[in-house]
This record gives sequence, C-alpha cells and structure tokens, in this order.
Amino acid sequence: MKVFLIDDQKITNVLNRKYLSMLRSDLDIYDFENPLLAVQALKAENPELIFLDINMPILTGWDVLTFMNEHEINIPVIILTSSSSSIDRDKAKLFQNVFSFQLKPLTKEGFSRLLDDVVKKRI
Amino acid sequence: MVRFSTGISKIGRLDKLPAELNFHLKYLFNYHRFDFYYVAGNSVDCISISLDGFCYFSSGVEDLPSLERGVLQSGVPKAIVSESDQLTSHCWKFENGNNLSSLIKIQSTVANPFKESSITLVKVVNKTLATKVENLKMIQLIHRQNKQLEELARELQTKNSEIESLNQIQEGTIADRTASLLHSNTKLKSLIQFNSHQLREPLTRVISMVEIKDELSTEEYVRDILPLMHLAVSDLDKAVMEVIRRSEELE
Repeated sequence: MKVFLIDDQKITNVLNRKYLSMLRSDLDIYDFENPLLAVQALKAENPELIFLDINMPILTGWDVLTFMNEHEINIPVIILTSSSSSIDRDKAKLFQNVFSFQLKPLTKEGFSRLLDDVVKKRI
Repeated sequence: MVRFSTGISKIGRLDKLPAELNFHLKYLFNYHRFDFYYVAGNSVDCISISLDGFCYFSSGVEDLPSLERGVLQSGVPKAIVSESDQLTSHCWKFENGNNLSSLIKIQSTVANPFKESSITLVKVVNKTLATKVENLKMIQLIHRQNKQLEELARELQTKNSEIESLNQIQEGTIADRTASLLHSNTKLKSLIQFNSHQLREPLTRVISMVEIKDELSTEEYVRDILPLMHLAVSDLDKAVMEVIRRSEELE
C-alpha cells in the first residue's frame, strides 16, 4: 500500500515512517517536507492513504485538501495535527475524503488502530 | 334680592366681591356702613362697604374692633348707639358649619335707621356671602396647588432630562467598554489560536521523540532522533517567548 506523509517537520515524518514500518512491512512510504512537492506527485503516484499536517508554510493542509477537492482526487486523508482547536476539527468535517482527525503525538497503538480502520473501510 | 344673588354668584375673584356687593346692598336695607367678616380659625377676611366706598382686606381675630370681637366670642347679637356721631351699630354672628363663622355689622343713622324687619335679608346676605367667600377661597387654594403642581411637574421634567442625558453618557461609556472588551476578546482568541498551533506543535515533537524511545535501539535513536531534538526544543522555547510577548500586549 502506498502512503504519503506530508509534514514540514522532518522529525514527524521520520517518526511516522518508523511506526508505520514497525506495524506493516508492505507499506510503500513517501514523505514530503514540502507540501507543494506532495501535491505535484499526487496524480503520478496515486497513493492509497495520506497523513496530512495542517500548519505548514507555502501550502497549508487546507490548501492541499482544497486542491484535491477541486481536482476530484478522492484519496482517504488522515489529518495529523498538533492543533487541539475545535475550529480546525469542525473545518475538517467539510472535506468528504478526510477519514480521521488525529492529535499529535500519535503513538504506535494509534497508528495500529488507524491502519486497521483503513483496511476495514476498504472491505 | 334675585339680582343680588345672581350678581354675587357671577363673581370669580375675591377682590371683585366688594364692588358687586356695594352695587346691590343699597336696594336691600338701610345702612351707613356695612361690614362682613369671614372667620376661619384665627384669620379674618373683611368686606367693608360705606357711603364713601368699599374695600376688602384680611386680618386676624385680635385686630377686630371690640364690638365685633365681643359678638364673635359670645355668639349673642348686640346693638349699640354711639352718642358722639349718632350712629347705631348692629352686630350678628352666624355659624356656617365646618368650624367657619361670620360676622355682620351694620351702622345706620337716626335719619335712615336699619329696620328690624330687614334681619331676614341680613341672614340671606350672610349665607350668600359666606358661601361665596368659602367657594372663592377654595378656588384660590386649588389655583395655588395647581401652580405648585405645575412647578413640581417642571422640576420633574428638568430632572427627567438630566437623567436622560446621564443615561446617554452611560450608554456611551457602555459602548466604549463593550468595544474595548470585544477588542480584548479578539486578541485573546488569536492568542488561544496561537497556543493551539504554534506552541503545541514543537511540544508534540518533543513528546513524540520521547515516546518512541523504547521502540528503537539506542544506536538508531542516537543516529536518527537525537539530532532533531535540539531543533524541537529550541522551537518550543521560541513559541513560549512569543506567548509571553502576546500576553503582555493584552494588558
């Protein structure tokens, strides 16, 4: 399964990659510190799951979601943010392909549960 | 008599009463001088009619001439003859109810004497005058009270407009305070938003780096994670400083 990790903080992508690799050996993980590069790669790579940060320079997570919406790219997105504000949580509900809204930091158990949910949803 | 009653009844002010009385009285009975006293408690209103003219004045019981004062105290009618000017004086007291009484004194000359048969007329004149004076005094009182009420109403109006202007000033103050509160609120909201995003972000990085420790070998941890720890902690410090700066701006 091809997975995109989009977060401007390198460490987040490093940690998330480590957790995901521990849980599943069949994951093809791409990480992006620059969300613009991620958006450009979306169509060509066509990932099955995206972990997306909200607060990023250049392009915010909302910009990425809006882009996907406008280009009818319907890939499931898990928002992974450090913002505990309910404003953001409500805003996320406006995007149909947002599968889950998760607060950082996400533990190994959290990733495990999320991956299970993704598999269940696909069946 | 009918003309007298009609004339008196048309009078609307106490000071007009003597003239009207003077006009009618000579058709009713003989007199040289006629005095009517309206007594209420210690105060006396007097209408005096003589061949020389007429007048109206107020005084007290203690200022009454001795004949009148005597009759007022005893209630017994009295008649005296003055040797010096050959005048006969008759004086009567009338009770008019409500603790009000009146006196009538009639002086007449020998040539044109007051006749005992006119006493009935004197009673009617007293009744008419006493009722009239009481009515007019009541009207005066009402007028006075009306004036007082008008003054009170004017005062109330002034106070009302004062209160209104005070209210307006207060409304202005309230509007100012509301605006300043709204401004503070906006700043607070933006501070909360900042805390939620900018402060929590580096903090979650630090926490996640600590949490993964047991999942990795020391070698892997030191190689991949530790070098990024310094950046996260330094970002956290910057964010804390920014929160302090913004909080101080609020005060």
